[in-house]
Amino acid sequence: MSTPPSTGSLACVGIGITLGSHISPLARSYIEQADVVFAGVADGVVELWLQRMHPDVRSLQPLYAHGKERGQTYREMVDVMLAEVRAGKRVCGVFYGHPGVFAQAPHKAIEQARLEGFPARMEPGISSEDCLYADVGIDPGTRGCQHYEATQFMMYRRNIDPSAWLILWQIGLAGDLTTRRFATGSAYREVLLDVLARDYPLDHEVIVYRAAALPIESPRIERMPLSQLPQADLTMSDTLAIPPARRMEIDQEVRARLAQLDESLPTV
Amino acid sequence: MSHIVELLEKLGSDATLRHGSAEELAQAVAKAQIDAAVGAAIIARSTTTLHTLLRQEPLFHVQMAPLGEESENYDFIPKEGAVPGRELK
Repeated sequence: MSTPPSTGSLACVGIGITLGSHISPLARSYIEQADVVFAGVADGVVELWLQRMHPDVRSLQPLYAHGKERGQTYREMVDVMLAEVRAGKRVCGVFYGHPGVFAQAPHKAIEQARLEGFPARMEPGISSEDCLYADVGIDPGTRGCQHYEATQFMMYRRNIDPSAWLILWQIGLAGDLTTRRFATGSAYREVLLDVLARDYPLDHEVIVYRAAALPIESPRIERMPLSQLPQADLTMSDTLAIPPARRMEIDQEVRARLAQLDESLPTV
Repeated sequence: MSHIVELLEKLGSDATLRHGSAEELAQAVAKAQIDAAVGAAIIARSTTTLHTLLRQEPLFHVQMAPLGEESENYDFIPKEGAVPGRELK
């Protein structure tokens, strides 16, 4: 099938977490039909895989650097993708997982491309969150589920609900206010522990989770008491899942109002 | 190299192989005609060895900095019609 002529466009697609397992037919089609592909993925082997799909895959990895503010890195990601869009190319930004979940550059690039009048869209991918639900066996509908970026969670007083799941992402960088590090350590997680101890007992069991990036891997599902969090061996790929610690509180007033409605309205 | 990546893609996309037995994995490796050391790393499910042999590594991939109230994106909530971009053809 012939590909239409380029006029400048942007598609940011997710290729999921596990090589070979999660890519959608549509994401693959965007990659194959692009003039240039930019790759923001989690493993060098995944970049090799992308290079089998397209002859011009440009890694976004060199834009990261120790000591460099990540916001600057993300602005540069937007800039390199937009430069090719403005040059009339069909650009595909390929991101691990879902390109719109805990990902600044894809959202910003699409917003900017549209402001400049270029067609731009995002195609979802299977995210680490999706893998978490499947691998750990969590249904967010049963008790509710709250998600926070770990450092932001520490920076602000949030009204969390300990009767629902609490998921903290980027736990390996928890507490890094500089955004210039690739990891933080136990001293930072001691602070996080104090924050969590406002709502959870120290012996509450928590789960460190990491989805499989390569198909020869198994997910990391490591259970430990909350008190061990500072000593845990954590990477940028790890997530902290905290199960509910309390029963849900019954709202008698609302239940009474609903029961009154049931009584007053005809049965369907 | 292409045979190795092709095999990994197959391991990721084949329902029998993705969570298959060591025997099934070994059979798939044998069919793939890849370097013996790489094949052994795959059969052993050793990501570290595989990375070493392929001269690859996990990449830094965090795509979000924690947003504070001073961030330009802090208050960004998309509104319908706010960004009138054309759809991709």
